[in-house]
Amino acid sequence: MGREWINLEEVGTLEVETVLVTFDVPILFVCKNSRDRRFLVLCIDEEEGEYVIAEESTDSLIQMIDNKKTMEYVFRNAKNQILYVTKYDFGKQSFVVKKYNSKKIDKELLPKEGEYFELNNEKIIHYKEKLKDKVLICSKEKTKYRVISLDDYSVKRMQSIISAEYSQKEYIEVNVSRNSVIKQHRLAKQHLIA
Amino acid sequence: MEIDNEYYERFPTVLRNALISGQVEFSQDVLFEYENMSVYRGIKYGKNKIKIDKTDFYSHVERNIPGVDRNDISSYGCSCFEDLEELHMITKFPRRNKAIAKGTIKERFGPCKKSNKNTHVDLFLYDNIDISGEFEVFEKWEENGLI
Repeated sequence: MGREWINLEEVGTLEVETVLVTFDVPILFVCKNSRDRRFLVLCIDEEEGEYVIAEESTDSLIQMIDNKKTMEYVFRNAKNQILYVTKYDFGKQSFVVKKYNSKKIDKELLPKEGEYFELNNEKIIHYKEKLKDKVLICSKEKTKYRVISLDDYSVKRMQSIISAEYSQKEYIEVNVSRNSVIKQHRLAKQHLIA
Repeated sequence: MEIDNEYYERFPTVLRNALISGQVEFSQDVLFEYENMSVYRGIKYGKNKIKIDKTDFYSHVERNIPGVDRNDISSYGCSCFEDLEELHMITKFPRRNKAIAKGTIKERFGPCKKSNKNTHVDLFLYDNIDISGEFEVFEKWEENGLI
């Protein structure tokens, strides 16, 4: 995980996972919170601490980076249709945040309509591969494991059944691309599902 | 060249103190000697500011940007790019009063760090070095596009 960036009551502490676009400051970047939820962040005014934050599925981010969806579309279709807009309170030395309906927010706070990501360098390629290298949580059902996904993308993409003979634990984490068990544990379901 | 506290004295106060205290350090791939490099830098530009000045090369820490990570040495650098591709992305976003400047950076300005994954260059300027004269406005925009 990257460095801690901001702490918001609504989503927790966000740590920078990767910066997608830089100008004189990071303009578009991805953060994760402690529950591994990802948030796409757009810098509007760095000196005022004005940022627009959208919780996104891994699939949405991949579609944006792959130029299948415009950046504006991704923000407009944020999870729960909520966008968080921050502003820095220099008196209190902290960020204040307001929630907006992603469908109704002013277009001046979003990427321009019709614009695709269209940036492709080694850093972006590497990040895209990391996003695609998903880990599924599988719960034991009798003699086999069945996927209980973290988001819709996992369910649609793959239904992986891992033989129980490889694991005695209640839950296992499987690397999708390698289809191999990477971690075994015995935790309550709610600890694993974001 | 010895990279020690005496060397650190050459940098602006915020970086100097962070280096001496060990809060940050130069990584192994920082270049203290290098050939002149042609780079592009995003700058402020608009009706209230049409000239490049030294403030256009301040680091995030010097600009006191909220949320900056003072444990990351990149926060004390000046971001530049060797090509325009990533800087051109700015036209896709609601950025106000910005332009791209083009210029040359030299080792006497300070050490730099080049990314191995894109064309980004972090320049760590020495104290009292004003490189604004080495740059000129290359591209600027109004609301509706390039002008």
